Amino acid sequence: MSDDLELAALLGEAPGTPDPGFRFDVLALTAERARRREARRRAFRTTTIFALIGLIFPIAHTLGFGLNELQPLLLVAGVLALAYVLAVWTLEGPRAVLARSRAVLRGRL
Amino acid sequence: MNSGEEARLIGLARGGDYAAFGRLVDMHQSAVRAFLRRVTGNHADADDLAQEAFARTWDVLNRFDGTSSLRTFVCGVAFQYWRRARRAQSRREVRETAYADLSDTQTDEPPERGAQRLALRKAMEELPEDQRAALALCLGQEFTHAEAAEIMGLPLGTVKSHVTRGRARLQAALGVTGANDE
Repeated sequence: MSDDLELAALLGEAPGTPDPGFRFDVLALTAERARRREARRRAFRTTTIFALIGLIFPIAHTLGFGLNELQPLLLVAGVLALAYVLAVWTLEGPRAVLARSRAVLRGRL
Repeated sequence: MNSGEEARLIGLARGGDYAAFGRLVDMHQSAVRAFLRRVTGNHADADDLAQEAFARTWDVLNRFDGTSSLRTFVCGVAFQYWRRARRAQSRREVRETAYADLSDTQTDEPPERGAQRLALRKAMEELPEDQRAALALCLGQEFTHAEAAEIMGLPLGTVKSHVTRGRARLQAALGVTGANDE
């Protein structure tokens, strides 16, 4: 009984063969954690962007700019935002036009 | 599987390859689960902690520098999770009885072996945290003293001392004569 292996067996034996169920649970947990982390990152990014957009007007007002002076800047910002939304939609949207290209790129990277 | 193949799988896993990571899980789950079963005394808790440890390993795989084995690295993560879980448990002051744990994990064994297991579990729970972990790592010969020292972040001599003293206390709990002579 003084044998170390016997003591170890009494305390808890090692699984004899790799358990596919365990592997599946680990991968599911890993994917879930990655999904949650990505969701948090996205939420933070969205909040930051909208906070910055909201800050434009009070800052401009503080600096003495009126709506007329800001108009060209707002126009450019609006076009850029639209282009960004369109690009994201093209890559990740329901039709995912470039999804295959993106997958290929991701696989090579 | 050789270390070259393991390094290749680690490289793939770092790139986001879940299949490669799954193979690494298969390679090391036995040692990690055995260690956690011995320190927790409960298969379900051990497997939960092992899953958390592997999932965390996926997150921090970029920090693995290859100076030690991946098995040692994962067990280090598991050790930290176990300590954290233990502290949380003692804060909640929730303690299941050893009998409940045994009925959860052991079936179809002779009563005398069940009694030995119970005595051993009780003795194990009375050991200090580090001593218990050192024993759990080294008794099954899955880890060397040096690897256990690395996992626990302790000097090698301290780990050897923990194992020697802990083993004597476990043997004493089982009524092995001369157990305290070491």
